[in-house]
Amino acid sequence: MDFYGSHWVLTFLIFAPLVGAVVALAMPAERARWIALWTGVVELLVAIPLFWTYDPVGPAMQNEVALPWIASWGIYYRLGIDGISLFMVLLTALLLPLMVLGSWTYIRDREKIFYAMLMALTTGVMGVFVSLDLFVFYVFWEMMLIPMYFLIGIWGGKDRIYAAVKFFLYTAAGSLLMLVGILYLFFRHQTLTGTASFAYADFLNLPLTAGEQGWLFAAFAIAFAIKVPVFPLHTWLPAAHVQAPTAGSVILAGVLLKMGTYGFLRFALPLFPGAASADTTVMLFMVLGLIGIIYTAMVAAVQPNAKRLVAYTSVAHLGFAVLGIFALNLQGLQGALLLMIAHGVSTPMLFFLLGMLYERTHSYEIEEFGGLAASVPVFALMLVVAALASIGLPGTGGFVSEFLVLIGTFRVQPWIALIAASGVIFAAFYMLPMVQKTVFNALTKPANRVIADLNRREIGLLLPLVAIIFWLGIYPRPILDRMEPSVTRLIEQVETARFVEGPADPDAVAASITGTTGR
Amino acid sequence: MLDFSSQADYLQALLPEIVLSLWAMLVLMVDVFQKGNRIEASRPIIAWLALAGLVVTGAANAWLLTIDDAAVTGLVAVDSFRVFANFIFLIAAALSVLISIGYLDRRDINRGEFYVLMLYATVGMMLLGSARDLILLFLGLELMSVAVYVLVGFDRKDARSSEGALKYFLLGAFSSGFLLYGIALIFGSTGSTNLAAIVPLLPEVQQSPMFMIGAALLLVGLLFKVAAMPFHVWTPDAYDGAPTPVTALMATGVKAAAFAAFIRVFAVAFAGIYEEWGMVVGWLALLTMFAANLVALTQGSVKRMLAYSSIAHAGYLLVAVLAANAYGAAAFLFYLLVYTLMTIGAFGVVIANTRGPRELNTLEDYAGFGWQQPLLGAMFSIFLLSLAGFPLTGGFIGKLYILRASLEAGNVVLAVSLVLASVISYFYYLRVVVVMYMRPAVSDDAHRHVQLTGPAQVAVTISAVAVLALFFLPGWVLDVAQRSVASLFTVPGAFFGLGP
Repeated sequence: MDFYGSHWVLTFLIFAPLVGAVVALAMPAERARWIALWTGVVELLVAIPLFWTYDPVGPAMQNEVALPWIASWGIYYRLGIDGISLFMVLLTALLLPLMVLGSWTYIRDREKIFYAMLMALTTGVMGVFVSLDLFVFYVFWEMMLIPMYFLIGIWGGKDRIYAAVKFFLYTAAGSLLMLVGILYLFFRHQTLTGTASFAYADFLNLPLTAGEQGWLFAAFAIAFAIKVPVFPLHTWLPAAHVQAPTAGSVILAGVLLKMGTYGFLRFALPLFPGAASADTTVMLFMVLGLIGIIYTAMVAAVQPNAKRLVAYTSVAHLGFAVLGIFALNLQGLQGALLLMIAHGVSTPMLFFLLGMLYERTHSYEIEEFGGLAASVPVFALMLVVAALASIGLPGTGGFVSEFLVLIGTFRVQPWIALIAASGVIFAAFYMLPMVQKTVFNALTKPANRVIADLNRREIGLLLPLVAIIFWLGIYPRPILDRMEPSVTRLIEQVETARFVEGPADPDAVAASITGTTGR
Repeated sequence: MLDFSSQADYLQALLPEIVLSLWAMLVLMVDVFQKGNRIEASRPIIAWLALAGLVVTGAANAWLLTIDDAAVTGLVAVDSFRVFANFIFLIAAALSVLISIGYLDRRDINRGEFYVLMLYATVGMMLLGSARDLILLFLGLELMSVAVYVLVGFDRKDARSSEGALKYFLLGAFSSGFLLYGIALIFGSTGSTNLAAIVPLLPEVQQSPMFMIGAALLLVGLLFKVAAMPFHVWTPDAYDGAPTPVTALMATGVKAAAFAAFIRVFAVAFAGIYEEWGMVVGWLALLTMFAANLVALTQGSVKRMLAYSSIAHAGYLLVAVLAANAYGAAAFLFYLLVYTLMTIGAFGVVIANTRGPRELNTLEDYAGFGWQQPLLGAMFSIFLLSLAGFPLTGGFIGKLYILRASLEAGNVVLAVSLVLASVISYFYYLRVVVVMYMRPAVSDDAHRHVQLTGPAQVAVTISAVAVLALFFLPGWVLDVAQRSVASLFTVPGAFFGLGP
């Protein structure tokens, strides 16, 4: 059995955390964090070789599998990765052990369930990124809501219940409409071909009229836009981020939001290319992305709460990703993908740092701090690195990705690119004062003199993130190479549909439908 | 081979009903001879006897599959749709019997008649679900209803139980009147009460006001029993006041039986006049889904919330019926099975957490429940998520099946409405989970005394496992449901609106 040449590596990555969760539940509570750590380490070690075993030669899916699950409905256990999902898988695997380390002393209450939830959540997220069957995809997409809901609702801050319920309802409402969309695709496929199937590959070639594409795109896009989140559907995010425990914020910013942008890249664009590349759609999303960048940057600048501030920066950053996606060219899409990785590293790092500070001071209020560089120099250094990465300083991943996005956008909408470029300045405008007020300025509060600096565990969990930040900024070539074939194919899929929108002959399609359907 | 040429054929065709009726009498006799003229609680053996009766009936029901039904004129249908539906009734009854054990003692109403009435209600359900003749349909409906009227008011000393029973009885009697009047008018216009005889006459009588009024009255009678809005007003009080196992049986078996009859009469026999009843039922389904979910949001009592939730589910099932195609009927059967399991499971947990004689079951009673009763809490969460139609539970597959059937039939508006109504339902199902896990308990031992008797525990656990299994391995049940409805179409004259 060739582990890395078959689906087994993906199956392992999906279900290993779930097994870990079950084991953690069965064991005494004090063992839970160790089990979670070992699960995370194994997960990461198994995932890393994928970077090399993934063959960047063509756009085809790799490590594919199709095993029957509910055969009479055409539901198969279909997995596979390409250059788009590969990095999301790696990012997810990386964050699991780090989250466990980040929660090591932070979570002292109901540890067993906490770590079980964390691992179950990883299973759901991993499944979303590798599913190639829309039913299976939907199940993982929804499944990950439950552990996240409990993570926020049980271990969160003061308003945790409000935040948890808001998070759940926003996401669930969006995805239910997507479910109707999926079923509609299923039904169309069945009437056209006579076979039941939920396979992604089968839906790709489905001839759909312009009207159908429009509605279906809307159903999918709303679900993904809520997840990203695209302005004005973002209001659940600050609440969830502020209330969630550190690990919850980390996975939320690190990979959960990327499920939205991934959904656009994997499903909304290639399945409904005509609707996705229509001028109104592109303009709508570009403008919303732009508003997201500028507006949330302004909102972030006035936040007294550091965690809320970072939460708003997520919306701003993902606004760039949305711009890149709807630029629909190589630079824009590669930039968006790279941004998903860069943001998936720098923002979790910020949340880890804020969590570490919270453990020591029980506060996220910027006012409470000042002059921390003198008392906790290592912490201060790390915070500066993370903040600069988040702003997108040259040499960090943020710079390369935002630069690519802006180039891509400039090629289609120069004005939008120009305005968006000011967003980069805005990022400095909200992030730098926060850093200044917390780690620099004078050390006025006596309580801040006696905080302990980061210990070895904490430094150890941050160093991989720092390394990746600089790697992305200095030598992103290997990553871009692996993305390129998949991104090129995605552009082709969308481009061709620009010219042939909907089925060539509506009458022929209509004729094939009548006689097989009901009223 | 049955052709109903001799009356003796009915002995075979009605075997499960006959077995269960006789068994119920046996249970009654055993109880009487054990107690004599003393007033005291029944022995545990009564419940087990009742359960055994249901199992034996299940075997007789399975035997029906071996019979070939050649006739279309018989009073009862002998087809696999009936067998599948019967199994749902029997499962509902068996689980209700199991969760009654211990509960009745706690309320001091452990009388053998309770179980006997449950068995007779089940006989009524089976007749109702198999009736191919309107008279038999009425007979089944009454047998079921009368037994359930008594069961609702079984706790005579409890005012709410009596109130629920009275309301249910008064409104139920009205609806029976409607139904009977409808049957009379249909008989008047077609000269028959046999569905197979009525179907060929449909094109003729379609224009006759007498027939249409009759059909409308029949519709009202059935909608009353399935508790669709606006014929639901009896439901909250009856469900809330009734002893909880009876509530469970009403929400599942009674509703299922009325729906089965609904499918046979309207979706199959009256498929030719779909245009006339489809629109009306469609609007009622919309009303039921949205209004019931909205009202459920405002409920402070978990039992009452579940009552409204079961009304909302009647709306979902109506959507399946309205699809009026093979998928719709199969979706209906599958959903009904999941629905029965998750609803009875949920009521089982409610029974566990019922304290005091007043049967109050407020949301606050569940604070911290999930932590102090990890197993019951987890199972309750499964039932609630399944009722909400969340993935990883059978409720999801069931809802998906209904959506699929609905889109297949071109009812896009109904499908989208079902989804939107589900979003509303997330609020109140989730709220219970929030309270169970995210609110602290009033005291460290607030839920320590909570316990289910062994049999009830088994019933709840079986339901939970089955609800999960119906998500992960639904293939077999889906196939059986699909095959079971195939026989509905082989009935000559019953044309399903397939084709343009």
